[in-house]
Amino acid sequence: MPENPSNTRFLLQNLMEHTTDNIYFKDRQSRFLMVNQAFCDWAGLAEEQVIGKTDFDLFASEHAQQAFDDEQRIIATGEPVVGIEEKETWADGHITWVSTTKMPLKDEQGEILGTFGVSRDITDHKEAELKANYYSGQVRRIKDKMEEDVRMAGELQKTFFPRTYPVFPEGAAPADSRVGFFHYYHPSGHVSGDFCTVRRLSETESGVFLCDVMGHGVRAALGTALICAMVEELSGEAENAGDFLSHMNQSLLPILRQEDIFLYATACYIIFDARTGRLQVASAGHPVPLLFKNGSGTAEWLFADDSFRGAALAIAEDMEYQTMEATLAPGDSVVMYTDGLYEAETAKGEEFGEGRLLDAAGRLVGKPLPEIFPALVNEARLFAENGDLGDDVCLVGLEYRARLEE
Amino acid sequence: MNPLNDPGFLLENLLSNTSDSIYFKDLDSRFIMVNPACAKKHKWPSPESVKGKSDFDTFTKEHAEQAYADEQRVIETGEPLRAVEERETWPDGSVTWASTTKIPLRNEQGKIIGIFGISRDITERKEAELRARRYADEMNVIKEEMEYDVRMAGRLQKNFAPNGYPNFPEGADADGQCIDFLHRFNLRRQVTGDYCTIFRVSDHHVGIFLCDVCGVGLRAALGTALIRGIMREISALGMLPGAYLARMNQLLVPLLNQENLVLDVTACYLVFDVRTGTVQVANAGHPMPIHFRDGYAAQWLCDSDDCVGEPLAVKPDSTYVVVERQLSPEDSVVMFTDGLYTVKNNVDDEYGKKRLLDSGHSLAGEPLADIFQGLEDDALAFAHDGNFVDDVCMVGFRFNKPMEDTA
Repeated sequence: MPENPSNTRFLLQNLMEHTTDNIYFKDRQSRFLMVNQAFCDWAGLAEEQVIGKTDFDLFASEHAQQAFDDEQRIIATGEPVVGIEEKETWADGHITWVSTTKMPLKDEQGEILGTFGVSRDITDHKEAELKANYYSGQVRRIKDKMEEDVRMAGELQKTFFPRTYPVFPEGAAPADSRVGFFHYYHPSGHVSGDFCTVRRLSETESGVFLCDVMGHGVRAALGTALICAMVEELSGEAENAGDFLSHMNQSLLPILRQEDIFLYATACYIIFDARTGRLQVASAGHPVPLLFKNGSGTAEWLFADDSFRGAALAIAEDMEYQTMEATLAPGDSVVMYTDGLYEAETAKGEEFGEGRLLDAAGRLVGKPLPEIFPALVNEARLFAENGDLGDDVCLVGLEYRARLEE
Repeated sequence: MNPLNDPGFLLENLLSNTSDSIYFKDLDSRFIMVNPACAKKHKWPSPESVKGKSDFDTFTKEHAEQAYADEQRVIETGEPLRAVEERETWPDGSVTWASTTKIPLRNEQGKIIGIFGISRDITERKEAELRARRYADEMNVIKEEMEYDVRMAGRLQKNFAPNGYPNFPEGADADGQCIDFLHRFNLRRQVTGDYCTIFRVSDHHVGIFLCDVCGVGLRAALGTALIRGIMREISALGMLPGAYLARMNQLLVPLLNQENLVLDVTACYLVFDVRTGTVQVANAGHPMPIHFRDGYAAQWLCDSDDCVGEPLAVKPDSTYVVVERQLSPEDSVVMFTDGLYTVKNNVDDEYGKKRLLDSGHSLAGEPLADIFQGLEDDALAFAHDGNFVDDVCMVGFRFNKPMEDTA
């Protein structure tokens, strides 16, 4: 063999002798014509044991049948088999993987004389891939299970929210109630840290409560469950709106404030008397409600000065919350909301903000609450461009339709 | 001559017809010869046109440098590279993947004079694999976030349970306690539907509450948070076990009993008078507590079905009878959730209340911690895989001695 490195024969001889890939040539009956050393090493056979034999003589019949079928198909159709991955189970039970390309062997007239193949062991890659697939499946199953778990918790959490609203006077048809209530709830996931409720306190008074437990997710949802369970009894006991929040703070503090836990909630509570139009508000670090004034056709903050707001709930002991008072005229509406409404951000990080929220509110004066709420949320969404508010959003409000007669 | 007997014919056939790229390179990694498949892959006009070129003429620097380094290592060490997966980056920005074997090319004296390689395109498979890995990574991030969330929720929930026990008499030191308390959770997960608490009702009364919200997981945990919230608000009824459960039921029904969602809760509430040794218990569909009588027997605190009412959140106006029993000093009472006896053996037999009570017999007179441990060990010895299937909560007390009336 000449040593000229550009001599094809020399190069091919080198390839055949030294490659670690298995190379084999077979006739039309799938009998081995020629194999390289790598093939012999791989099969654990000497060349003379192989030549003239078929896979059926040398290997487990399952593999042999598969190989035979492939080759006969190639011979029949002329179509090669390119880069297929084959699993090989050996007599001692161990498994290897090979990547194989098999082509038709043709003479100069294009007639198919047999096949040839190049196979290489890819067991390491394949095992890593299979492991990754298995792991991916495992993770996915766990994730799906957890998601289902959270979804079911979310179903329960939805029941915390009002299904009906009190009417004034009691027994009136909802459309005839002197005060109308409405709420809107949109959790960013299955569960959320937002919670609101509307309750009848007396013949003339209603209590409207909204809170936002820090963070979102399951822990925040647990926080809302605690609060939800407390509201019923607390609203009966409290003397005024501020007193209600003080009581709630005392109830929550021992549960939410622990060495290893720091979980607080902002909250806003309104007591409204439908006979006098008198409104009490107290706030534990919560955004100031919006006031829609039908008479003047304007929207404004219920109080321009927000200094009446106390600390969030479950921050400190013995917090006192100031009770602010205002008088509503028939036609006025008051709307509470969680900060998710105005903290919607554009991709560049610009916040919708309270200013834009107030502007949006101004355009909605005179509309009923069931129209105002989705419209406000929509404005925030449009601003955020991608339509995602990114946080839980809850709104709850009352519209004072007419004075409740004596 | 039959061409099939001619090795040269066979090899040339391989070279010309295979879809694998075959290339031979000199010591500087410049091409000596490539096969048609290789020329086609590189969009070279012919296999001959490539002589003297290198990967740097074809690929981006990134891949060319990697391939060059690999080949030079093969040349230096004589070690082949077997089935390495190469990421090929092309000047137009596209990326392909190849499975490649690179082998030293030797002259007849065995001296290395270059390398040759056989490369197979595996782009499709590799991209699928990478997609799967990316997807798995994304899943994993979500999963970890959720796990963190649940772990945080679990921590919060732990704070619902007793954090220290009341002392009777108030301020008594360890030796002066007229009553000892203990509770214990054996949880399958971070959050649970079991909940217990022990609280002072008066200077000589203690209330012990245990409940089990049906189902597992976060929804059940949310149920316990509701109950924890309610308890705080109905504490005025603490002396009246029947009224206590009835009120709790009233508050829970609107929350847990909906058209499409009913989440019932079994619960047991007992009030113990540390002066008189009288225990009063009301039961909402819950397993009856076990009464360990001074050193010789264990029995149900009440074994009539009449003393067990409806589970909570099932009917709006459920009422609960109160059973009263007298305890003697050194008696203990243990409440538990049904997870303790619902374990099954390998023939699907349930451990059951009877075996539980039998286990209790042998533990009468022992300290509370040993009773808890013994009850749990016996149940787990029965279980076919040595694990509880459900969460288990036990809570109880040992009546050491009557408290003196100091008033």
